[in-house]
Amino acid sequence: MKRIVHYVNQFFAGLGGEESAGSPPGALEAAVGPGRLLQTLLGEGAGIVATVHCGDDHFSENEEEATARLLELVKAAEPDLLFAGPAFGSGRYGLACAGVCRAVGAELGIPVLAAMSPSNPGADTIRSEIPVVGTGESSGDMRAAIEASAAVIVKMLTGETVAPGSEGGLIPRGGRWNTRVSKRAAERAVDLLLAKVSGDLVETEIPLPAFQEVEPAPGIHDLGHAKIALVTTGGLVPRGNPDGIKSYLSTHFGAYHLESKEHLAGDEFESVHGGFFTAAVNDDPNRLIPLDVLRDAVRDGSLGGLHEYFYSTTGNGTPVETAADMARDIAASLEEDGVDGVILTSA
Amino acid sequence: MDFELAHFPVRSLCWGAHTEYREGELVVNREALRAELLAEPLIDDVELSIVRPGDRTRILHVVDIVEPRWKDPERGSPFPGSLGPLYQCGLGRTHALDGVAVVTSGSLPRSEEAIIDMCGPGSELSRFGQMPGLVVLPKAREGSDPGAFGLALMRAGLRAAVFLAQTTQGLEPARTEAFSLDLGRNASTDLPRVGYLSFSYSHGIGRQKLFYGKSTKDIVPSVVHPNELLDGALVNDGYTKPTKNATHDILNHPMIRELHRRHNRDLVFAGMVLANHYATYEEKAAGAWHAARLLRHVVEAEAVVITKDGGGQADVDLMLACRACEEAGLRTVLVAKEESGGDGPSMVDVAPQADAMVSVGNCPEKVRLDESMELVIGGDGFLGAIQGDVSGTVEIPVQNIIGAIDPIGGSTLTARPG
Repeated sequence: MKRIVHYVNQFFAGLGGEESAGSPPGALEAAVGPGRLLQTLLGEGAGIVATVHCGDDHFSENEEEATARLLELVKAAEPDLLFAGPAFGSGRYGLACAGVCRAVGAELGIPVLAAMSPSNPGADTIRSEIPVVGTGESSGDMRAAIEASAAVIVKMLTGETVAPGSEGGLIPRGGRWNTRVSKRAAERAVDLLLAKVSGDLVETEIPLPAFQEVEPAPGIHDLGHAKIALVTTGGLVPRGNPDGIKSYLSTHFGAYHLESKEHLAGDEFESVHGGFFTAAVNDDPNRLIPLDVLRDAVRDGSLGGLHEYFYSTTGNGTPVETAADMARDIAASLEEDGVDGVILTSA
Repeated sequence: MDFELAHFPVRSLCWGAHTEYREGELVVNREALRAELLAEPLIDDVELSIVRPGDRTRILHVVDIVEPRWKDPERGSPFPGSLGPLYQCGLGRTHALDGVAVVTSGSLPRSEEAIIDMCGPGSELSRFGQMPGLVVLPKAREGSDPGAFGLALMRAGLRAAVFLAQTTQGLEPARTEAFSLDLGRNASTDLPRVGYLSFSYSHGIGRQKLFYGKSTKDIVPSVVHPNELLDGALVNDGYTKPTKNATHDILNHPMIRELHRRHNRDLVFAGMVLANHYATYEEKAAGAWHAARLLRHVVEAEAVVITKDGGGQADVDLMLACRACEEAGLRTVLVAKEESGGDGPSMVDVAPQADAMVSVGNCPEKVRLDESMELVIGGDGFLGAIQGDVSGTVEIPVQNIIGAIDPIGGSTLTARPG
């Protein structure tokens, strides 16, 4: 018989509602609540050997400790699979399911499955890495949720790998994923074009992404008192690239001190950008980070001052989301350093 | 304009005393080929290897891949301008060795890793992992300028390609394929007139396609005959970011072939415009108008397929061209690779008119290559951001497997919401 451990919150463990949400981790050596229904559906080949539970408030307030304790309780039951939920639309419960699934999957290496509503924040955190059965928003959907979960559990227990979002009933992973189709792209493109010409409703393979509108900051009226920083996506770094800034698909940026230099020397800096011929920049890095002319501007008083660090990454192939994350970090530190404006140079 | 490809399929590739092609077997005299490649002044030495599908071999730092081609020298070089004198392309007969690849490898400045695996999951993702290859790994003359060496590396690949294919001189091909396309207006059909707008990577030395040996950096969008591209007019210069097309792809251009295949059946292949990815927004916008005008008034297309050759900045060209074409009354379909991380957008620019796009795959998605290799050709470490044991299991973005993402539509890979 395959051994299953079921994770539920205090309510579904039968310990009480909100008033018991602070209850600490515990374990029962039997199926309880929704687990009983699951047990009937699974039949004799698999059995719920333990129900591990925790109060939702307790979990969210003591996540690290609670996770460690729950992990011990799960491990002690020597399971072949962990099932968590269904948490429906309950956010705290969903996040606890996510946390327990993630920890058990990583530590014990056994198949894990959660069930909750697609709108549950817990689903967002794990849907790309762990299979999550999609449910309705409330326990009125219990029967359907348990039936759908049982079907996936049976499949997992046969040793088949069930990838996140890979089949009906599971919440999609989110994002875009590669797959093979029968026709080559050239043929699909011509098909799509002919359909468009004949006036048919066509289905695009790439929905138009929606971009966030960035409202420009108010202008700087007195440059003579403004502190300006230099930021580039052209990949200028000290020679040797000490921070390992990537030449494409960049994931991080570097901050480099100008050390009172008057200009940037080609034997000290280089561009690691992979998308343009970098010889001219390597010869004169000031043409990417225009330190020389800005020092002049500060000297003649037309500019208040220059921030003593420049920030650099490469914009080459970097997904918009990653770029936005880096930009938020850079902007936060510039703001902290009292910078009034930025000159942003690209490759 | 009548062009004919004479096909000589290659079933096996091996070294031997005489370079010859006989009934599907290609034998190469290694020393003779070496001597041919050392004619390049910037190449000091060259390492040559043969790889075959199923070999536990990984090729690193791939720069370009070329299909062996030969034509009667009286009609010029198979790669005019890029190797040998200028002569018109896309007319008459050219010999092609099918199903074999000349692969050049080398570390050029700021290259991004491009690999070919001859076995395992990597080989399933790219047609280049499924055909025998002759790997050319030149060593640069001490102190050579990297840009100039890149061009020497490119010419070495083309030289090897011609050297191999000239074995078919005087032989009867296994089959011939005719590409007849008279671009004059044919009034006898009601089929839709479809044009093709092909953007080419064009960022200067080492990061561009060459058109008849000339940099595409400053060309203006031009009407060219599609057969010219099938016959060596457009060549990859030096450096291949893995998601830019190799010369081998262009010689077998999937989009041009598809339009030829359906010519006078589903559509009229009205012609094509070759355009470049300019550096500035102003030039990009002007290039888009220019291309749309040529397609509308010179090619006289009513619908157009648009492909790009790069990511990021190339999305801007794609969208500007889409807008310009739609505003000129041309229906458009765009072919694009995606760069989506998590839930973020997969392109960096959009035009509201871009309502019909075809995806050739999501570049950053990781694939696990879990085949252990006995031989690694081209280097002892990965370039750029990839970490790991070059001969062992490694997780890499799918885009680093050259051929997996094919911007001109030759692959069945696509991306979908998951």
